[in-house]
Amino acid sequence: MILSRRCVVPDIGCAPMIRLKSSAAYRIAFTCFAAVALAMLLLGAAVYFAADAEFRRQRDHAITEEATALAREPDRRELNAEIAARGRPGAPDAFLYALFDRDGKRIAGALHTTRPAPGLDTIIFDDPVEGQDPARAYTVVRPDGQTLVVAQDSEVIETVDATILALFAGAFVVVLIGALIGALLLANYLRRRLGLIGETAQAIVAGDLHRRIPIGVAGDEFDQAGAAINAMLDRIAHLMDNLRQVSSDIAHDLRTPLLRLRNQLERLETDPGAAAKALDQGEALLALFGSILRIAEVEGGALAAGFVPVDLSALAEDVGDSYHPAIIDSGRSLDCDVAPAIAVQGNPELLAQAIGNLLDNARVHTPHGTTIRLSLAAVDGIARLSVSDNGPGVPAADRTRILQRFVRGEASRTTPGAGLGLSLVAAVSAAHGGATLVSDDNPGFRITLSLPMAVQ
Amino acid sequence: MRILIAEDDAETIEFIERGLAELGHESVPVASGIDALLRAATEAFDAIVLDRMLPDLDGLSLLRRLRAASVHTPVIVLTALGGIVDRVEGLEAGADDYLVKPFAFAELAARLNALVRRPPLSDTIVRLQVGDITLDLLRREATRAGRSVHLQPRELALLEVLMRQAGRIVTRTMFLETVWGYHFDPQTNIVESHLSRLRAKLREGFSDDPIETVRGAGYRMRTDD
Repeated sequence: MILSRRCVVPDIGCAPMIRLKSSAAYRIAFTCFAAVALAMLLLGAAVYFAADAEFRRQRDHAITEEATALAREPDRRELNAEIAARGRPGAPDAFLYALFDRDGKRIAGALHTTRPAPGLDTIIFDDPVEGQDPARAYTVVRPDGQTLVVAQDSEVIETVDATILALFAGAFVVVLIGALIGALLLANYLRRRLGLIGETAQAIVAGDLHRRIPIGVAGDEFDQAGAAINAMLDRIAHLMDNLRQVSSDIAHDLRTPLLRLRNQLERLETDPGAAAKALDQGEALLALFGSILRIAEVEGGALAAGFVPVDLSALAEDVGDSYHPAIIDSGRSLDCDVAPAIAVQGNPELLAQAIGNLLDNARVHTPHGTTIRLSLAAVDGIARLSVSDNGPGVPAADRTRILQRFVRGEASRTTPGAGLGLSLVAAVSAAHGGATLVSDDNPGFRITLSLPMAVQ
Repeated sequence: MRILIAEDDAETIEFIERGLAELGHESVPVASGIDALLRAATEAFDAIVLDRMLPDLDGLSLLRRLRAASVHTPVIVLTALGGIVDRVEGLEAGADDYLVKPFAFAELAARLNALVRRPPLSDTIVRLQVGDITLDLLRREATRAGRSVHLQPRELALLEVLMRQAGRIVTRTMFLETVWGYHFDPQTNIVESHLSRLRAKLREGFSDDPIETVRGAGYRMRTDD
């Protein structure tokens, strides 16, 4: 059974091999990695094209300026001297000059090319080292008909572009390696953290119900989720314990009355009084079932939707009046000390039953002559309803257990009852958002319900 | 009385039928909700015992349709659900009474009697009289043979229920529901202790007890006949 259910929990961290496609951790990590790579590519392309365009613009501007300035020189000889002085080929980013006469014959400058049309243009010139080479040129026609060309080898920009590309390629590789390492670390981290949850789940499926997810000190999202799951597991474990307890209690506590009923039925033919006793036992069993179902209904917690404002003062007075004669008849006395106008939000019938059960409990478990006291007071927005007596009290060992189902104090083994009355009281109190406190009244016994009062 | 029993459990039907026959009543059992609706709408019954869970049409929808069709035959809803919410739903659907399974037949019989013989609701009744006992509903005063009997409010309420049902059995749970509004077993015998005080006060100075205990069923106010 357990083995066949192991496969219900998906292997997250325990499988020796993880298919990468099926691992969410790797998927997340590689998605991050791909996003970084794409961002790098886009950034590189943007920088490259922007820088290239800017360099070209600046170069065009520079040769235009140079050509325009030189062209303004009125004296031809001066101009020739300037061209000769500036046009020293050698530096790769140096300007190249050419001066053509009216007929298009080159008469000065080191730029070996045919005369281009006026304005900006890309031309082919004869580089003494590299042969035919492209260059960017600005051509001006002087007023005297001569044509001045200022050019720069295109290689200058291409070199800069290549440098930028090389830099980016290097950076890209470095970042990619970094991102890849980061992604792998992230994937491993995610797998490890999720693996802990998976391992815990598998351990629980395998039967170790007390395993919990280890919580780190960081208090991060994984820790928070783990803590929430642990809290849920605790709650489920509590409910399961409760259920197990109830089942075994029912099995144990119903056997005795059922056996008695069976014995009475056996005696039907010989004992004329057996039928009546059997009926009584049947009634008692039904009442027991009724109590169990009632507690289950109250603990189920679906009742709060039907809560209404309840005048707890009037209700307590009323229940006190109802139980008073029976308590007197049993040889005990009842004092009521109820403060007026205390209201709570709740179910009046359940509250009445809870108060009734408290009074019933006090009546049944105290000796004759005991004074039972029902009191209600408001303390800091909390309605404190308590039933106390000056009887022998309850040993400390029984005090906390007494609110559980079917639990009865050692001293009350011989009195009638199933040990469900106070369980219902505790359940009703909890359903109303209240607490139930069992205490020693020196002498005697006291149970106090602290219920939040209705907002006025 | 002629009573329609809409119930799909054969054992429950037999249990109710036999009990009603012993009391001299006629019962008409139907096992499906549709049949129950058809017969209840077309024939005359004194009361309907309606199981909450029937095949094909659930008891509460059936009840709502009956009431919508202006069929006002008294209805007792039987249910295995004894929850607080369930009971409210049953009464809201138009049930006159609500009985949680399993129940003693005496309980059902007493409730059927109370429903069927219920005097028409009227504001004009201000005074009840049974034998030599009178109860003034306005002044909340009781007298026996002209002598005033001083009663506590709860005792007055118990007396009123008994007098309205004079000659018929009122069960312990009926007292709990009508006088206290409790739909649970209070463990402590609060009904008995209040009733014994009522009976002692009514008996004071007289030789007979106007209220009798019916073993295994409840209490009954004696009538002259």
